[in-house]
Amino acid sequence: MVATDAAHLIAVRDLAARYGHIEALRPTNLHVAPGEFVTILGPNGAGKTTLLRAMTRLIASSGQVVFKGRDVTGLRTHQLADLGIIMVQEGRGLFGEMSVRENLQIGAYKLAGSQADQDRQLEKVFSLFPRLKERVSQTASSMSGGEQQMLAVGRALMADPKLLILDEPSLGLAPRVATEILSTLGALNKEGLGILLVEQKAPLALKLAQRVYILSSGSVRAELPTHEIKSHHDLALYYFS
Amino acid sequence: MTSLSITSLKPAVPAARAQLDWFQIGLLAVCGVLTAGALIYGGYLLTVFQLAMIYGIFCIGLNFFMGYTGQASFGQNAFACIGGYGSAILCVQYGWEPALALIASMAVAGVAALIIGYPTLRLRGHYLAMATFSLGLITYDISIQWTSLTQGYMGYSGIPPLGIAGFEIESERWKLVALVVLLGLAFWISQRMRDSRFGRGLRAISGSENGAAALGIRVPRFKLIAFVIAALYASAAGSLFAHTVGFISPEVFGPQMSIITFTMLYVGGVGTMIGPIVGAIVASLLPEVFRGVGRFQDIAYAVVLLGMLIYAPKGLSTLGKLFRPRKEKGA
Repeated sequence: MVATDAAHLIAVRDLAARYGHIEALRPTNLHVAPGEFVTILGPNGAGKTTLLRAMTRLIASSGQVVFKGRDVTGLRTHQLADLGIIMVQEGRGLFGEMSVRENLQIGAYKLAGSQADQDRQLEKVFSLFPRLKERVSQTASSMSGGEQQMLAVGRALMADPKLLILDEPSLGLAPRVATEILSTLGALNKEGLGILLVEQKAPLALKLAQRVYILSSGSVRAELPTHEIKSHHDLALYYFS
Repeated sequence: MTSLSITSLKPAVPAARAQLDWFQIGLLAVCGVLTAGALIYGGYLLTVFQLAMIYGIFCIGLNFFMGYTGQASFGQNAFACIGGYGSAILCVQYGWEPALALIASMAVAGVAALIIGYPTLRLRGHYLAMATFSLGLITYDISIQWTSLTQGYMGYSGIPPLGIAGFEIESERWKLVALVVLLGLAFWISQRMRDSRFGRGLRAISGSENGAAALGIRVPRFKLIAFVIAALYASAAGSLFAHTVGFISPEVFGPQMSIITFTMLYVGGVGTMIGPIVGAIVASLLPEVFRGVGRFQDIAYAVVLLGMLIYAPKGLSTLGKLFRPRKEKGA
């Protein structure tokens, strides 16, 4: 373990993943500090989703993952969730036949036996997304795309995450709804939640994040503070340099 | 993360309990009336309904694994076989009490499911289906070939009826009553588990294994427990068959048992609460209804089943949704 990793909320070292013969993610280093909002940008096929899936052990990978100074490389996905690493997957991964209430209850799964903790998290989620409270008995599959994304984020928050990882939460959403959801993430970050966001809507993500990684062809092309990116032209240069 | 203020001390969202809609209550009432009719008229109908109740118990277990957990198993007949032969051997050869033999057989089936399920459930989709299918075939072959234990094709006869502490249920009517009570108990246990935290975890796995794991659910362990629960139900059904009919042979627990129970589950509604019961009764009654058409019986049966699968692909117990106003469908 690198000494500085202890100061990070999460740090990955030389993380790499393959799909058969295809090297989808080349050895990659990345870190998120406690309370930091980090975004990963990159064109389609850059390896952004692969990076998140490798970090959360949803796919096999090589390299090292350190969380709060502890080497968690050998842990499984559910064990990482137990530690507080919660991921909102691309496509939301909702349980469509379950109601909003049941989806949220599943989110609080690791808060076993603590009804008070669950209620506290529920109140918090409902205060962030009041529409979920209105639709609490409705099945997830019958809600609009924006509401589903709110539910996906709300469900992740039910787990009381220490690090929230989101894979393109604005995908397929109207700009107004996407802004609303990403703004909520910004508010959560201000409360101290560490966030790692993969996002295609670069301008919005750059407004919220403190630091950005630019991924292209399976490797990190740049790591820099967001204020250093002034225009789309800058991004394009990083994407294709 | 800083928590926001709590506005209420009451649970913000009360615990979810699955509820039956009016259509499903009506379906259950029809099933109840038909069963009562069989009790009154007696005769061959009693046997048909006895078997329907036994298959209903089997299907409730299968629904737990296939419906709620979303896994495929074509080999649950293997555990019914363990239950049936366990009861037969313990009662006929060793003079055990039927109730004790049933429980002991369930324990053996549970351990077998644990041992078999641990490596098998690492597979997914078609691979899991094929592996479990071979499990059913292997058990079927064992029941034929291991003649010193199973008596091969001869099977076991003279299996005592269900009973406890020297009391035996001899009357066919009372056998049906006992099976209805056991089916109700099996249903109640299944619903309690479905609505529990564990049950929600299973249904999350059915929705998305990766999604469930990402929320902290131990997917392999949950799948294994669901497999064991389904095996316990299947074993109980196998034992009940032995004690109700009084005779078993390998054919009873052959691959056709998987086909029959699959049909029942899909006719009634896989993943629904009352689907296994409705499916077991409907699929048991249909061949009798078409007995009058003689040699076209099988064709008529197949046509009706196809019609159900085409027009009610989610099962008869979900048809009530067709009559609900559109805006309520999601609720």
